[in-house]
Amino acid sequence: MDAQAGIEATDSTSKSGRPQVNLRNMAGLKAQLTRVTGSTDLASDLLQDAVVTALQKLRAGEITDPTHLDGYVYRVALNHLRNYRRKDRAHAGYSEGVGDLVDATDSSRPAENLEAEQWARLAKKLLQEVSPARDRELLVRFYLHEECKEELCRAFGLTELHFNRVIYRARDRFRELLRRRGLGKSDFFSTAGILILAGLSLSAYGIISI
Amino acid sequence: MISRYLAGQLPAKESDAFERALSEQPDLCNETDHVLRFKEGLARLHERGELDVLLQTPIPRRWLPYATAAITVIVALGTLLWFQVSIRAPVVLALSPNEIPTRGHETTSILGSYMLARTRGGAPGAEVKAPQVPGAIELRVLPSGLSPDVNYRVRVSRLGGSANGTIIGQIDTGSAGPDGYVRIYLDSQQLMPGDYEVLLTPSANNMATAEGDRFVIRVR
Repeated sequence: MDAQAGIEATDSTSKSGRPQVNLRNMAGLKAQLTRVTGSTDLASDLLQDAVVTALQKLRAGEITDPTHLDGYVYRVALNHLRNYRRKDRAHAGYSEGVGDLVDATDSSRPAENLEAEQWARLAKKLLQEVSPARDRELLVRFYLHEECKEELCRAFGLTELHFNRVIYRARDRFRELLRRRGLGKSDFFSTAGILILAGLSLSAYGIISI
Repeated sequence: MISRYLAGQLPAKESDAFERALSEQPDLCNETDHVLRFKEGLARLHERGELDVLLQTPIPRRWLPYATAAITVIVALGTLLWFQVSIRAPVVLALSPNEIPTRGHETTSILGSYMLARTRGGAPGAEVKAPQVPGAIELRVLPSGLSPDVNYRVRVSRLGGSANGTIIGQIDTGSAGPDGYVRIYLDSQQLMPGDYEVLLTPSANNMATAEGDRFVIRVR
């Protein structure tokens, strides 16, 4: 089995009966980790750490269902993101959400940049489709500046129902745009690489097969 | 829920529940990653300064091209209709009998010819018989100046009654013919019984060189 196939395998159990890490697409998470840490390498390390942590939990019996291993990896990695953002808020006077974080456009990772640029194009397309202008502003303030729902409802004079409708439609449309571009469940090769390395290093434990 | 979790806006209890759900629901991980991609996309647009433009620029509506096309068609049809109406507008005064429209006839017949000339003493004018059949009534107007170099204009207007002074036709005739007359033609079907003033004046360029002549015709 080649490395890529091993990562994409959908069965949670290998032929040998050992649990496998079924890597979900973490491209968005890795991009945000890169943005918040300001380093692609550090983001990769954090993802690797998430995999290792998950595998250790599995080995220790803290993860009862091995099919949830990948979800657990995502959860740990997301926690890393939140921790870094909390630190960033505390030390750097964080005020405007991810938009004001360090520039994560690392030219040494052209493939990752290319994918993130596609998201930017899709986000632009989505905003161009959204009308009225108030809804566009709502999306930007909610997703980018992370203003809270209640404040935005007050500021725009919206009911919670209306607010949810705008958000739901936008998310639904973005998902559709990703799907059309074949980006909905695309694989992030660098992340795959991390898992391969993690898998190799942990294969000695006998809890992962690649 | 996802965005609020990512923004750290969820209460601890809900946040824990969300994280548990992340471990157990693959679709939630996908959804979360989609939100993160959208946020990353927005962040990149923000860094490039494109967001402000997107927020301020009015977004072109999808129906706008169709509406524009529809308006164009309506304007075109309206213009066409207006021209057709204009073309079909009754021509009361003409320089040739053939300019007077007739239904079902290739040529317009001249129903009568009248001469209008200034005479010493009596009021200049003529009694015109206008049968209600399609045709032209010829008026031969003799300018008092008798100058071959003068271009003329003829104006016909109603006299008396509520329509007094209403101009029913006006036309530049050019200079008088070789016989000294200025010829105009009236549409017999457009003439109502009554009195009309026929005013022959030099056209604007020749105002200083010749005087005008006024005639009255009575249509019966």
